[in-house]
Amino acid sequence: MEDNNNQPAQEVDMVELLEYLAKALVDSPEMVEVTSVEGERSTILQLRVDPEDVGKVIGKRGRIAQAMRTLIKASATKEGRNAIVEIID
Amino acid sequence: METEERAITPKSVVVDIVNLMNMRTRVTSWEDEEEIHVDVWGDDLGILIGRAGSTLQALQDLVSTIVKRNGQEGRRIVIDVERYKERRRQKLRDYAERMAEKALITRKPISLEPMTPRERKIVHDTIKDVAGVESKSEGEDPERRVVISPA
Repeated sequence: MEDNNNQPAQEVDMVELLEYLAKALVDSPEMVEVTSVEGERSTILQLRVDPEDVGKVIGKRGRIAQAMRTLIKASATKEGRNAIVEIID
Repeated sequence: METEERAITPKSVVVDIVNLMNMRTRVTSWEDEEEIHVDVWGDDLGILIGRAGSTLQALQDLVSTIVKRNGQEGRRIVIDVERYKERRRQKLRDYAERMAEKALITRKPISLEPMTPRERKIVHDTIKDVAGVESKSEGEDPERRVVISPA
């Protein structure tokens, strides 16, 4: 699909997006760390937070983790990529 | 170690997220005593809606959680993209009316597809205004569904 945009197409920075969401959800934003591994079509994003904050990024019945995955996947789709979010604890 | 003193509002969080997603949008907001509405406008926002509104639901869950943990906000936060929810509501009303008509013609109860509580309420409210039929909900969530019967 043509994008009638006169700005150059910019890639979505999924690391930055995941970092923003995680920092806004936790008590210790300075402990939030996101690293990414780029595959051919997929990006694996690994999220690390303070152990005290793990529950906050997972949420009740995993609802928050699922919502972050859905949003990150949507951003990846925009770039024609797949994204996997792993929460490391 | 102080966190920055930037007011976190539903609108500001939505703006941050759509900017990070590199989407060109306009974001408006309005509120009343019970709800804060944030509306996202733009072209090609299908990605932000997702299949059956799943991405929009994720966005709403995240923004609500972020805003509520950062302040005293107790009101419901409702996010919509290009009036998706409004259009879906209208489709649901049309569907309920068609099924009511079918129930009237066949003189048999009609069981609709499973719906969320909010969707069922829209259907019940629609059926209330149709003469000759009544509606009730049957089954357990997430399979709970509306049944429309000739009165």
